[in-house]
Amino acid sequence: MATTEITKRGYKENLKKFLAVSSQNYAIIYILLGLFVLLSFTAQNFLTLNNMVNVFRQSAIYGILAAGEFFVIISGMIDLSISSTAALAGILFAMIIKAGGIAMWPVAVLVGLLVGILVGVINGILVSKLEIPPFIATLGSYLYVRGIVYMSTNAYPIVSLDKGYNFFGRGFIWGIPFPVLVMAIVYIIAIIISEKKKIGRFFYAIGGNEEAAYLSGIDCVKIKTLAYAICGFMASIAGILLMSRLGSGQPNAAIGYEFDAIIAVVLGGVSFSGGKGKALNVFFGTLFVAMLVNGMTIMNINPFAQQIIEGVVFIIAIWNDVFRNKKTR
Amino acid sequence: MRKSLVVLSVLLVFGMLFSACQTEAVPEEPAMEEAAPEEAMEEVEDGKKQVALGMYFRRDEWWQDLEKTAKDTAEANGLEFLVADADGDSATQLQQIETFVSQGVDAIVYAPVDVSATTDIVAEAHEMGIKVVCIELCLEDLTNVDAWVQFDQVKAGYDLGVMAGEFLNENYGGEGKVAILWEPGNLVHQMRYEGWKKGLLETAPNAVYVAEQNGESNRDVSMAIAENVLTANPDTVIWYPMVEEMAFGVIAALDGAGVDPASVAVYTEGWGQETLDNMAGDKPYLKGAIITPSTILAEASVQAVADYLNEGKEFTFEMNLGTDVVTTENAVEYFTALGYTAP
Repeated sequence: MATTEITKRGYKENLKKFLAVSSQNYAIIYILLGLFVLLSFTAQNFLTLNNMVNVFRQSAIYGILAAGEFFVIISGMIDLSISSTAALAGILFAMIIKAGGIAMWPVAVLVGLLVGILVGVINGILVSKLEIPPFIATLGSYLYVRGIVYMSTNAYPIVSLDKGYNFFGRGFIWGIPFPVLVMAIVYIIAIIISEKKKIGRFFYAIGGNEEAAYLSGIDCVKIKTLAYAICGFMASIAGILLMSRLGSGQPNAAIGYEFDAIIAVVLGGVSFSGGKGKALNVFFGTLFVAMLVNGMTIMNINPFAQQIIEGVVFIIAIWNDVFRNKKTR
Repeated sequence: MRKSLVVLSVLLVFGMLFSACQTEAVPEEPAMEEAAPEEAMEEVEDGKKQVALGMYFRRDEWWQDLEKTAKDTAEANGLEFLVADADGDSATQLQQIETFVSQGVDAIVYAPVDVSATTDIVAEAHEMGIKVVCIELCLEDLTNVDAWVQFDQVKAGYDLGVMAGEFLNENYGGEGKVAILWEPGNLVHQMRYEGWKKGLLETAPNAVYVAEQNGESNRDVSMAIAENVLTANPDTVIWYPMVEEMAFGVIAALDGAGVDPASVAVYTEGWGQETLDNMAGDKPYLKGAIITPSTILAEASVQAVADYLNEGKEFTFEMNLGTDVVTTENAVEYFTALGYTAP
């Protein structure tokens, strides 16, 4: 009898401990579940397989951008240029396919990805080597990269592309949308790098305390540049998928996407000041944003009200970050 | 220091490489001088009269063609042409108009981003003897405006609403679900909205609106919205995205969802090759488009300015230009006559 009571008490304590730890580390999962249940009851046709596929497909591009932004933010920086980088990579992808046909897709993808990495490396050099504040440096990149996109296209969309062009953005493999598969791969890699590899610990170390990281022998310039290169790489993947999804090359595509990516990262519990956060939670943060937008559209909520709701969610997410940081101190 | 210089040099080379990169896919016509008013002023030749164009934005083919025609018309009339792009921002536009006025151009042709931000500077221009012509929209206070060249946007919306109603009557006994994608804060869209609602109500009063969402005149935003609307209401048969960019997003979503092009009708205000492709191609989702040719708008407004500056001919205050209605039946004929290629 006494043993049973002790076991019960132990079970309860463990459950309490689990809930306390998980609510602190994985709060976004609870929030996501709450939103899911709410929308399931209130939004017509929300809880259908079709719509779930839809939510994942729509979250894929933001999710990939957010995964890149994650590496920059945990390193204590920010990248505002991801939307322009995505547009540049996507436009080059479209241009090459327009010029050489769909058979050129490997070259087009490669060029797109390399350009993304190049923009990332330049951002990294601006921030780490030339010591320009990340906000300013990447804001500059946001402008000049978009300028290159407009200049190289005369702001005209690239249309009438081969049919196979759409596959990357609209195609399915084993019944799963291709962009969702890419997003899954991106997150698996992001989780492995950030949690299992030495380089991942370097990102956190620099984000947590750059001086301490430097004194402990970490090459901060190299690691920061690498974080931006990864971010640029992810942005270029997202850009290629986006242009393919749109079925054309759109010079003004992805404008404003950096904000959704940053919201997803912060919602995922990644500290805006760096050093803390999990890639998996960023994925859930992305899903939350996509689900929220999906639900509001399905319910035909007034577009202005939608903006208010998104803004409030963003502020709450930031406030939560500030609150947790205070508690830690 | 030396390393920094190397880094900066690499950046510069990178920038130059890309600025030199021009796609073959891009039509050659549009003259895309990214000339801020200040820069443009330096290019002005002595003695020539100047006309300045204030663009609403330059992001789509409609505006790009407007700019090109305005430039051609100005130059054909011996005027110096200056241009500035507000990119949909009223504060930017105010600065640009201020610059034009302070430089003392002879006339300003512009598409106001909103109905009041530039009222004072237009009054100042008027006092200085600078002629001001509004295109598309105009200021609420018309006192200091010399002419207003526009399309009848309410009628454009009305005509499309009637076409949509007829589609519902022919295919669904007058009933069906309708989705609108627009920019609620855009005054031109508000006029189209008013006309559309009236036209559809008169023709198919049992139509039901299931979505009225902000497509932000953006293709990817509109595509995501259309996907979500299709989830909740897969039987939505009438779509009214108010501009072509939104229309192409909706069409991409319909195509992605495997919707039969014969079962739905998309209506928009369209222009250019992609409009033709989506009306006369193998998937004609786009059943009707109102064409408000930007080339005519540009030509009429700049010609009026040129007539005044060169010959002293007075302005006609309100110039209403006609719109064209293009359907799947006449799209090829209409657009090929304008130089576009049939799909």
